[in-house]
Amino acid sequence: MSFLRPFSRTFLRAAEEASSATSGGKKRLSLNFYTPNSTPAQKEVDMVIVPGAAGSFGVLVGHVPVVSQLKPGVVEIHDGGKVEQFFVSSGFAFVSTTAADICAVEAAPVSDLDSDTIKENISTFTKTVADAQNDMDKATAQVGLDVNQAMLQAITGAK
Amino acid sequence: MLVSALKTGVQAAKNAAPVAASSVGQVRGKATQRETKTRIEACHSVYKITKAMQSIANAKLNPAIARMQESRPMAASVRAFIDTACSEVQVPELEAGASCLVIPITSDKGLCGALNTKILFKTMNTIQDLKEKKMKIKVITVGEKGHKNFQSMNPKMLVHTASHFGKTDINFLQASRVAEFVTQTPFDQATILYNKYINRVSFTQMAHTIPALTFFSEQVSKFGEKFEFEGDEEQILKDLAEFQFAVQLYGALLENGASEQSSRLAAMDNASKNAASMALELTQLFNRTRQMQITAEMIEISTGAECCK
Repeated sequence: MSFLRPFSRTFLRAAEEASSATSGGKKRLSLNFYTPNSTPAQKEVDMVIVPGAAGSFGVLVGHVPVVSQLKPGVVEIHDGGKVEQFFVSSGFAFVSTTAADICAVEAAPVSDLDSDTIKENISTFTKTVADAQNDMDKATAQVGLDVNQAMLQAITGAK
Repeated sequence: MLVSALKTGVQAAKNAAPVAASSVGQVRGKATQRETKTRIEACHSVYKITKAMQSIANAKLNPAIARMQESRPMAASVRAFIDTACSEVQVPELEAGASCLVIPITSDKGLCGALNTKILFKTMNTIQDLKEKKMKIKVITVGEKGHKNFQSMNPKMLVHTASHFGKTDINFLQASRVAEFVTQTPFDQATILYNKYINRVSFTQMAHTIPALTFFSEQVSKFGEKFEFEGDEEQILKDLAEFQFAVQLYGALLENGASEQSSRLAAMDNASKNAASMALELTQLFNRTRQMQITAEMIEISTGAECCK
């Protein structure tokens, strides 16, 4: 496939040029990952995958400015071949062309999640949702169920 | 328990009879000596209690400062986003009759110096200013001390109180609950008043004004100029408004918490010093009086002996 190689190289160079034009020449994304009580990450990275409420999306430097809510899911930080995974409960992500600010209400490394506790929680919340007397209780229990199911997904889907 | 023991000690020191003037020939009787002894013991117990409260406040101060500092990056990030998006937006002037929510943050426990007095004073000034602009004012106090103050002075304005957060340090979950509770009362403007921590010996009163939660939703087009929304704009802005309110309230609660510990530290330090110096004065008085009594008795005995010669 030698005739494809020059083409793909040009294509990639063009994409790099375009992205560095919008990002002001920066090659790496400034990641600011905050919670109300800690700062899990504040450094330059290659890419971060954000669990947006409307769907997960990846952020590279030069990304269109975006504001998104977070759903319970995994923030994946790609930095020079290493991948860090943090589970977040909810929050907001503010993306600009040079930086991504992730403000999560709660964040924990996926390796810290305990699958036994999560499975117990899932069965408890499933029961509570079924037994709920009013909309408010049902919605509250449903949130608990969703978060725990997302945590289980994060553990079982983790690399 | 510490506070009630402290009150008993102070009461004992006060109830003792005043010091009788000891001039030559007039001596304090054994009864008043006993009372002086009681006063000295009371001073010692007050000293122990205030010293204990001082070390507790000292131990709690550094973690409180750490929590406050750790919370600042996220608050700054949220505020920076809002400032960037709304940089050209002017918050509209309030018309007369707008409903203003005033939220003073106070402590639950006392013996913390001038902390609560200062913030409640600032609250009264804020309310006065708002009254002059003919606003409708409602007050939601955070903390028992603010609640007691408003109940006795201005019960009609007091709508709700959030207090007794428990023995654990306040966390974002609790702050969110308070924010949710507060925002059930609709408002055109909210003012959070709290003591901002400066350093171990000083703090200052701050007032943060927050526009109505609907303000964000009304700025959809402004936000849309600079940012794209992943998802429904109205929903995101509505949630963002509530989120930033909780974040601001959390920041204010942590600052006030750190200020409370530093204020209590200084107040209890002063109280211990005063108790110690009072105990010293009374002990010296007691000893002087005891020595004068002995001298008087010796004079009596030697005079009697002279007479019988």
